[in-house]
Amino acid sequence: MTQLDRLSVYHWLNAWCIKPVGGALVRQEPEYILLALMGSPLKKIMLCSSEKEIFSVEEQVMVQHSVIINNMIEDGSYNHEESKIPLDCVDSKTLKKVIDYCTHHTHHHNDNQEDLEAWDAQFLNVDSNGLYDLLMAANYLEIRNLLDLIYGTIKNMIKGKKIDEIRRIFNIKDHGFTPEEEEQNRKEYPHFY
Amino acid sequence: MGKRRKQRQRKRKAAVDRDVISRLPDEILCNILSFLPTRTSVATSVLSRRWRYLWKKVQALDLNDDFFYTPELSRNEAQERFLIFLKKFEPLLLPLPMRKFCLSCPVGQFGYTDLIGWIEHVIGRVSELYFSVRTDGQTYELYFRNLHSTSLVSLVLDGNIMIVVDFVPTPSESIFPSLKNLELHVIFNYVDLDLLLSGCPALETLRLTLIDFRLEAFHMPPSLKSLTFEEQYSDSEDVTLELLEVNTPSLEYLRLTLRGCYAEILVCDYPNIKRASLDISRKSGNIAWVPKLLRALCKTKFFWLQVSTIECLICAPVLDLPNFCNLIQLQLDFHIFQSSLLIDLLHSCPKLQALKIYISQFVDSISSGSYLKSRNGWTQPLSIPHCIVSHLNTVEHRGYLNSPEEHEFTAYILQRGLVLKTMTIHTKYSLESKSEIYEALSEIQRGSSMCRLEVN
Repeated sequence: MTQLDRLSVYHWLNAWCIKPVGGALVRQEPEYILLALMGSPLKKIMLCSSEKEIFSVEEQVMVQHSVIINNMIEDGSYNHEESKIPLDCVDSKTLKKVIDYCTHHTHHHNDNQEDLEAWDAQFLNVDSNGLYDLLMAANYLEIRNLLDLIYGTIKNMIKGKKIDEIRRIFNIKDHGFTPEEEEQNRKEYPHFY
Repeated sequence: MGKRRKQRQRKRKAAVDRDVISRLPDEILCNILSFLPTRTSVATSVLSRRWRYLWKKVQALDLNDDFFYTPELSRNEAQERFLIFLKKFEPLLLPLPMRKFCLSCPVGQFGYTDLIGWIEHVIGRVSELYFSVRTDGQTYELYFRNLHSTSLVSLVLDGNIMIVVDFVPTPSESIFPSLKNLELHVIFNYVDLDLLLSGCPALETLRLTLIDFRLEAFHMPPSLKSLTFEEQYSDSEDVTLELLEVNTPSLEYLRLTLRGCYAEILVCDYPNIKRASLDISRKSGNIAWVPKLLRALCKTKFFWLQVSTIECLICAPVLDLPNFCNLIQLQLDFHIFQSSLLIDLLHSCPKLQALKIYISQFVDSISSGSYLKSRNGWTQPLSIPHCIVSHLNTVEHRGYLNSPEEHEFTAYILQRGLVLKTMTIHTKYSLESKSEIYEALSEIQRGSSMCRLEVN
């Protein structure tokens, strides 16, 4: 719909939208009629990042993936007209990525397994800071499939590797052991060094 | 350089150098460790002080014995060492609620009772249990009388295990009331398998790989959403089973690989079915009900019919294909290319977007070549299948032999496919033949301007 069309419809609805309430005829706000005409699948919710940036996303998308958001909407604590969901532990960059993930998986859930896996691999191609931020966000919002995906990736960084390599990958510069303790560690887990 | 700028630079450098993973909370680090084999997660205690005691809080035990098999040790010695290694973790089992317990090892006569003791101890408190045994040819019994659990959500049993259920589960006394996922591979004693399934009223995913399956009547739990059932036979004796009941209205995923002959199958409508894959061997009993199963699966989105199932359809006396109203991807494995069945199937899926044809012919190329070139089963269809003009955008044909029938069919699709985007042909022939095929097909006037033809 172009801007002009929307305005025309708005004016038309404004002139005609009346509904009976308790015997009297009352004006119904045109925005709600437009929303009703568009149908509920496009119902959107507002998410607010820790940096106070607001993201609008389809309700269906977030409800499908995040247990926390699903619960909030189901128990009615979220009021569509007014409120936004504050997510103080998630910054804007991470929140945008999380929304990206959920939206893609909702719209593409019919795709091939291989295509989805390829997209996931590309999605997780971020630096380690970004990865851990995503992990914390997915944990907070309880997004099971994203969590499993990230856990799988991190697990592969550890499995089968020697300790020096793992310390390098995770940037663990100061392990905090005394030389004697480190010596004992080596004896106890020789295969790991 | 200003003081502020220096400070900012230092901060940025520190951020890059920081050990970020260790700042994650314990709960998350323990979750990461729970995906690792216990031997590895225990070893992470040497990564740094932060990680020293984390492994003790991990709510999962994943013990397998591969690393015990070194050339110096005999099998028995290795098994003994493994059991000693296991004992080290016994204290862990007591205080914590254990989420996951995986045990994979070989089992000999002496070790078995110990292991079963572990399983019995753990099963009432874990939500995921994975038990894989390799035996020295012997079969060991697992008595389910002592193994009921309200916490168990996922159970995987793998190996020469004989399931013994010497009681009848009732609705109030089910074996695993919370079990959602069950996988059984190479398990024996099938009478009790039916009883075991009846004791899992909430089961959603079931995967069975069974050898020498012999059961009079086999009933799937009605709560199932996903069923993978593969059976094989070690001997070629013709086995006939009476009944397979798949009365599961919530079914979303079905994969059947049946080698035996089933006299009867009971199905219901599957309104939520999304993916189905059928590999049903061509026995007289099966041929009678395969069309009925197809009708029950008419709402599926993805369908894969393997060679044996296609043979069943060809031999079926009456092929009453349903309308596959949601089907978007269809894969057909032919032994010999049959265009008439293919056209019939295309007629029955009006919204089909992707068609994959695999020809798996294991015949001598010389003799079959001449046979195929003389035989042309192609008849021009009376009416054009709806999907070809409206939805079909991808066609893939593997094992292309360039027979006249295949050529006619491919030409038909190319000419009438109005929304076709890619037509890919894979053939085992030489490069010259490939370009010949490409030339021959390129000459055909295409119905879709954006159609891309590829011959590999």
